[in-house]
Amino acid sequence: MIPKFDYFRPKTTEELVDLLAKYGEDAKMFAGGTDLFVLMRDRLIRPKYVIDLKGIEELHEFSYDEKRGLRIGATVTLNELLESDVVKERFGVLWSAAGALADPTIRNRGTLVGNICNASPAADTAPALLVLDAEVEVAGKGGERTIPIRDFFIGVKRTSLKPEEFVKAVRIPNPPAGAKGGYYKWGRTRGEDLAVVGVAALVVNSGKRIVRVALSSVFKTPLRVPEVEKVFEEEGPLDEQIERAVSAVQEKIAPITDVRSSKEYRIHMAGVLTRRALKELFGGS
Amino acid sequence: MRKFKVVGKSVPKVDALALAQGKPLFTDDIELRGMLHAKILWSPHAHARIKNIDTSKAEALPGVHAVLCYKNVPRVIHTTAGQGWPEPSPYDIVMFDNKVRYVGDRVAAVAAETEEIAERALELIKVEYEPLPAVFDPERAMDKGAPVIHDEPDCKYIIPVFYDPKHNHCAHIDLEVGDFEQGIKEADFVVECKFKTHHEQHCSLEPHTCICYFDPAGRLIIRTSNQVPFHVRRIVAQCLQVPERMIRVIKPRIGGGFGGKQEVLIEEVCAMLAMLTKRPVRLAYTREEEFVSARVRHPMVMWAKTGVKKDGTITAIQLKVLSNAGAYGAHAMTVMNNTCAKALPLFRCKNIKWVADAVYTNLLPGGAYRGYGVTQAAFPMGVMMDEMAEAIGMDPVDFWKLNTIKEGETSPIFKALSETGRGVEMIVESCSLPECIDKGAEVFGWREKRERYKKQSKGPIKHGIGMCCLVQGGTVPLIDMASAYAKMNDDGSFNLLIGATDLGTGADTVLSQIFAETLDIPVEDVIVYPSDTDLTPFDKGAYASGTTYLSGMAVLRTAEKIREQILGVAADILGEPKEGLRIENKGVVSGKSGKRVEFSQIIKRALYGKDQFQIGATASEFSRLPPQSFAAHFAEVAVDTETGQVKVLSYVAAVDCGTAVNPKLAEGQAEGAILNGISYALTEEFIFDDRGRVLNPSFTDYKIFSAPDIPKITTILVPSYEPTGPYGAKTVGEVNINGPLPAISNAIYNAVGIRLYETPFTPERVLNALKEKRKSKIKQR
Ligand SMILES: Cc1cc2nc3c(=O)[nH]c(=O)nc-3n(C[C@H](O)[C@H](O)[C@H](O)COP(=O)(O)OP(=O)(O)OC[C@H]3O[C@@H](n4cnc5c(N)ncnc54)[C@H](O)[C@@H]3O)c2cc1C
Repeated sequence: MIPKFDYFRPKTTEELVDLLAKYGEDAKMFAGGTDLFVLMRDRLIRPKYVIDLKGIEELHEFSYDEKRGLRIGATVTLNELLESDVVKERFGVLWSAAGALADPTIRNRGTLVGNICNASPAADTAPALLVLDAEVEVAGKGGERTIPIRDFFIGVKRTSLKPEEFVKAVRIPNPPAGAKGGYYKWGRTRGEDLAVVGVAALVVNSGKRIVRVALSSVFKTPLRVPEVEKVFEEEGPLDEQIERAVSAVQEKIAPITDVRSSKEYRIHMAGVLTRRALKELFGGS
Repeated sequence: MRKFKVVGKSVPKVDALALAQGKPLFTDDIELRGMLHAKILWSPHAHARIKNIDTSKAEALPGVHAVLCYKNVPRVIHTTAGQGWPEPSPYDIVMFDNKVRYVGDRVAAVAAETEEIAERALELIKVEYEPLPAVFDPERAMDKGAPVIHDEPDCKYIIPVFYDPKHNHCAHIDLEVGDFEQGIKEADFVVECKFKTHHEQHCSLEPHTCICYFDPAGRLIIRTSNQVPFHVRRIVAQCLQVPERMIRVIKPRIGGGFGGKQEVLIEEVCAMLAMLTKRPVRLAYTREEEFVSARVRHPMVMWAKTGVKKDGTITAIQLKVLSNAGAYGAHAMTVMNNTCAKALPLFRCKNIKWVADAVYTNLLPGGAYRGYGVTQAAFPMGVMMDEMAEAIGMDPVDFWKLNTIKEGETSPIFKALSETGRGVEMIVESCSLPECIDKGAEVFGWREKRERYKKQSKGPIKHGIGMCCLVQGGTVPLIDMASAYAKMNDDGSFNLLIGATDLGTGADTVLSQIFAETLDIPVEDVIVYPSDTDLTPFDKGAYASGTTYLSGMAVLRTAEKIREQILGVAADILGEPKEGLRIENKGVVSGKSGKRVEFSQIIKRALYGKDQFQIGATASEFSRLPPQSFAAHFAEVAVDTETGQVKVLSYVAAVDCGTAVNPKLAEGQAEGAILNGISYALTEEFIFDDRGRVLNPSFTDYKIFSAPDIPKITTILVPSYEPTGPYGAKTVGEVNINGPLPAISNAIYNAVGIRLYETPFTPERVLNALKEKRKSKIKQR
């Protein structure tokens, strides 16, 4: 049973700003609701007000611009993302992460923005956004601002959003030319499951090697590991570099033991997945 | 073999259309005027005495109609196990006690206008607990100084069996046939290992749900999702201390039971609340409650020791079993007994020793779960067979074939023990297991794969195959009874009223087929109505794989009696002796004169014409012996040596269930059981903290297989003909759940050379075993 609440469905961002200014702390925004209502049913949160974002047309904008890149509005669903050829072809790491999240029925409601605002360490799209240097467009009664994704997550289920702020969209610049990417998710079953460990990797293998790696479920927030990037800044045999990247990842992460996995297994798997991801993206064995 | 018209055909399920249309068929699909909602307060402690409960605030909350706890409910010691009377489970539970024995034990109950109010009322109940030390490890439960879980003076069995609750000793039996020690002496190789199996929840799609209300005459109606309606009536009457005639139990469609609903888990509280409030009351478990306050498969620790000669003869088998009954002993002894009675007759061996104990601990109570003890025992036995085959250098297929029971043979175990204690001497009159092994191996490609996987690829993924054979006796012999009643209608159709409980299995369909076959009518002419204690005759309920076999026999006998009546009327109409007449396609034909009279004419005569009477009959059948169903299972796995993950690539089951009355439904039973077994072997797991709390009470973290996880499963039905069953049918509900643990364990060994003796085979466990293996190799060098 879901506890009682008052429901609002604003039609404009202005209305939303007003509602948030008025109810901020006591309100929760509702995009797909696939996190929100689970938390409410389990009584982990009891908002007095639920503000549905789906009535605001502006937030459903989903566009691509050769120069500025991708812009994903707050109510764009994960399935809409997956249906986009641009995402598939140019933002492969995001496409692969979105496809690894839950199952088609959840993705039919769930949104990218909801995924990052929920700020679970296991959020599947977060590592992809981290390696893509995404930016979060935020608005509120104090005006608008942009938060780089690396500053967005500040703790387990905590973001740098203020109570009266909301996310309008996520902007993703074009990745470096020739970039390939993928999200390597380790779950207990192939059916929908939260990640035991997830590794997003972005690799450029033309001329100078560029490698970016970020992980889910191994830290209090989704985590990008810049030490990996440093490893590839110098020249060197690929296999050796990959092993150094694996070590860098394993040193940086600080996973916990929980019902899904032990800490030790998470560390082990972060290594295995990083290695597999990099080998595959570099086209090796 | 006989040719059948309806039996052996995959006719559609009689309830399929209504189910697919979403008709209001399930318990919770009705909403009665004035219905209250019940909620239960659960213990947060694994072991504690309740010093006091203050319910006054909850009672004062507007909308609350009743609050129950140990203070205002009579103490009636009983068992929740839905078994025949006298129940072979200890009487060790009361509706509400002043002691709690596991986290999730019942403390109080509330009935209120809405679920929300009921939940708020629970929060207002003040309970003063005195926490007691708890014991969770079955191997510690009988230690000196271990906390005594059942220290109440009134707990007891009502049948004469061992029981020592002062030492948490819930059940004990041992037996020896032949001479085990002598057998070990004769062996060329002796194998000895310790095994552990884990908790498992049934995960029925429909949680336990019950609605109680009164009919105009003031009788209590219990509409409930339950496998054993007749036992529900008896046990609720016992708990409420009312005559059974006051109670009617109705079982609507059920969304799965798997043994979890062979239990009177919520009906007595719901009924008590209805009695007190004089209002309809609904009580439905949430998914979380299913995980923390229902029943589980008994986890077991098992020690196996076997001896084998170089020629493949098994000279000795010993199985020691320690079953973790949890906080209450429902099904504890019978499940324990089945680790011998229904599991060991498979093996041709003269010297068998079996020692079994069940102990109380402060964890979730065990209960009935598909496989019922055989699943647990099949694991060590299946792995031991593989080890013995390896020791003497024989292919497992040949070793299993050599050492499993054949048609016309007996096992000393049959006579020595049954599920409830006393055994029945019997000969296996139908057994196609050797063909199952051959066909299964062929379809699976056993010999080729065995060769192929001798050489493994360089990468981290290794492949392997494993097999096992299985048996499961159906019914509880000399105890179980089933019955049916049928009557003929004006148009020649029939009402078939059966006590049998279809819990999604298709029993209504299968029983209609048996009835239709006997009277040579189409299935559409059978209007089946199941399990209503007012309207249908008695049936022991849906358990021990017994419905097709036993209820089927009752239906067959009912139909035969009706056939005689039909022939009698036909003889009168035709003016010919009954003996020369036979039933054919909804009519009666004379062999001599060739004359024919239709069923519709016959019933018109019987109802309106001459010497009027209702063509109708009732018949019953009790189980004389447990028919043995067999299977040979083959699993192919890929083991990822870097991640530890085990993937089942393909699975073949060749099954002997006698005649498959409805092959599609039989295959469905096999595949459902196999899938359940694989999921149990690989991902399902309860996680407890050190205080006995379940940490993963939801599908988010208790992982059962869903569609994308399902491997390729091939079921091959290999018929045999069981002379004691209806049209040669045996049973198929349980046997196939027992295969995945041993077959997958053996396949993992074949792939990477590690034996897993503890379940489930999670990536972490596999990885650790691989590490151990590497370490020991280094040491050996
Ligand atoms: C069965 C199941 C399986 C799942 N599996 C996965 C999985 O595998 N991986 C995974 O990462 N997640 C999983 N999830 C979680 C969830 O589906 C995702 O996080 C999803 O992306 C959430 O999106 P939503 O639109 O439904 O969010 P909502 O539930 O609507 O919102 C989530 C949170 O973000 C806030 N919020 C939403 N929009 C905004 C906004 N514009 N500005 C500020 N705050 C906002 C809400 O108030 C709420 O706190 C699963 C959930 C379920 C129920």
